[in-house]
Amino acid sequence: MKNFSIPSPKFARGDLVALGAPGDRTLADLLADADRLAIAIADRAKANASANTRAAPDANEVLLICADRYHFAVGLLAIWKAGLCAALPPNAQPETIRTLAAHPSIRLLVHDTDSGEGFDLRTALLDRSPIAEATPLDLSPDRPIATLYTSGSTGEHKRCPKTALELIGEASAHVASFHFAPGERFVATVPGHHIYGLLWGVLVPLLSGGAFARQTPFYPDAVAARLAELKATCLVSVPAHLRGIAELDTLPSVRRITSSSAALPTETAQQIFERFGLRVTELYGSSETGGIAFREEPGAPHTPLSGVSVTADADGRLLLDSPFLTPGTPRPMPCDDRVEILADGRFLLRGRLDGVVKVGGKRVSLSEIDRHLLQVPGVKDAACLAREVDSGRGAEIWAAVVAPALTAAQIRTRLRDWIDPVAIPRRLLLVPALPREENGKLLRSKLSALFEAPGAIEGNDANEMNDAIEGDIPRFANAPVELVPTRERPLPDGSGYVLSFHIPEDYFYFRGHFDGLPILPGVVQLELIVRRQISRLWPDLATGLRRVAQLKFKRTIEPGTDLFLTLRRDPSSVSSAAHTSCSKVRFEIADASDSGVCSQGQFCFELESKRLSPTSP
Amino acid sequence: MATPELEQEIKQLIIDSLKLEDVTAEQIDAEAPLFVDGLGLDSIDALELAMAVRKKYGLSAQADDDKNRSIYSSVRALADYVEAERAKASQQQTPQS
Repeated sequence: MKNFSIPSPKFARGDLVALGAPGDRTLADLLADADRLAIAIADRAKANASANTRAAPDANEVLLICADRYHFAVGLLAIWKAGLCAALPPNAQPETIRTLAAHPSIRLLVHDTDSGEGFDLRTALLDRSPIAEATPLDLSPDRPIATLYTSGSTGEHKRCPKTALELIGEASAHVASFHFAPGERFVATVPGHHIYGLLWGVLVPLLSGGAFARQTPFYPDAVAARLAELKATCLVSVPAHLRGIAELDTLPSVRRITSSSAALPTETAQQIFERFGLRVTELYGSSETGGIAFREEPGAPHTPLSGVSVTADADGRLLLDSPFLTPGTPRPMPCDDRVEILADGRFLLRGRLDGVVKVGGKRVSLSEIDRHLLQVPGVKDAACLAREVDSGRGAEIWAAVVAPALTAAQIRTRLRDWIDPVAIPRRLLLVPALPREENGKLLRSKLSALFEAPGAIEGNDANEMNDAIEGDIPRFANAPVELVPTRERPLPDGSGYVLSFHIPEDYFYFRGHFDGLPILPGVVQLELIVRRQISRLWPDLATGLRRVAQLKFKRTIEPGTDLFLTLRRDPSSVSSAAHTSCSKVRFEIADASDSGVCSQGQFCFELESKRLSPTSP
Repeated sequence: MATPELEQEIKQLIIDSLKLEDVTAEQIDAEAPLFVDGLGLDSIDALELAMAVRKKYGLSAQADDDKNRSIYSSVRALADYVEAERAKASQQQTPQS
């Protein structure tokens, strides 16, 4: 098999390869900058200056992370020219970069940020000294050129080493299959370190004699502006971004829009077709497998890419054979997606076979989120699940966490160092314990039920609530149970009050709730803190409670806690037909030490205009 | 300067459009950063919020992402931007009427 030449020999030296701020660059610029940087990288890798001190003796990977696509392309070519292999991180979160940079396989970190760590490649690009005429690279197909990382179902970021055949071979196949002629101009909304952004935002332009935008526009109007300004012919994007782009009034005309990383909702595809007359080319693949198939009709079956064969086993598991598989991979390769093969060779995707979900187009391993949650100091147990939602996200992560001393915000902050922001749990429920089985397993149904529990009280009428209270609080009248506010002050706007409470260490209702992990029961908060004070402050609301709405228990209350109770009464709304009026009191119980909300909700009262007697049955 | 009512309206828009079930308008600090810290919103929220602002106020995002980032940096910044755009629109209409 013959070697790959990159950038393409179709380029003339004066042809543009990189477009837009902070300045257009030609092929000659790219090759000269790559040569200069290759020398600097080789020097540092050899001398171990600014290099990873934990690198293995034979470490030959250079971790590359750049915000500017031209810097990224220069870095990639320079790493290859220096005889090294590029490692591309799964996300740009600082802790991910820091951890990967210390991996024994990594010799050096190269970037274009102001982080101060590793080697800032911009310093090498300042050097404008003349250099012998640089030439494109000649890469042998079996040479390892990049290591991509993906989040696998095992919970670790999985290393995907790639040869030139896999990456350059696939991008070259796309150039041929989708007929990219020299002079195409690409704007990508995804960075170069993901396989899709690497193939379509960087390699396809470099292999077709085209040019790419240096910037990665994000907001729909910024995408439209870059398309117009750079006279783009191809937009490389993802469903979450295309959702916003579909709502623009106008979109500069491009020849092709590509989408990958998750299924494009039919509605978005149709909207883009109806408004701009453009069909989106959806590409299906993964970091491990490379590209597999494409489709251009929303919701239609996928067509395997040229040279790719897709079959299924008895379970519907996708079996893949492709020229872009890693050498040594068993063929056909069993994948984690389920498919239905049609008579004409096309296929329909039927979901995943493992615990991995797509959140905002990114592959999220639930076990990985669990693992990071458990690594947060103070977290004793944790489990998460994915819920499908109707937004650009597609699915959300919800987590139930046992962490008596932490708030949801503190836990999220710690996770953010490790986890891509889209995968941070949208709902983070602090619970006293997870409902695990004796063998330690946690049933999905029981985990799921935790999130329904507080809401289950919503909409119950007063009688049911009273029953619940009577049932849950025994010997109500005889026990020393009353909680008396230590301080009371009106709200400045006169709509209510703020009351201070101290919950004694030995308070009666900590008994048995729970042994070894005492927390204040929700029903005690509602009845003995909230409802008692409403009745005292507004005697007209002593009866007539119809329901408790929007009730949320967000954080546990432990013995010895000081609390603030805020009560706000909304103006009554009168229903003349029914001779009743409704009155709502919103409450919030917060921890006085840090103002973190423990519980909140709304008590709704229905007052008859002519109530006979407050004690009538 | 935006009114407290507009800030309140934008807080509610954020809660409704991003379906933030655990958050009330009172909990959102108008000056706190919306993204990463503060409310901890992410890139998909950013796009969803821009779509909601377009629907409710008829305002497009800017061609420059740095400007967008500063407009969407906090409730106050967004409210000030909406207010300024409204003022611009009414100034443009006044001479014709």
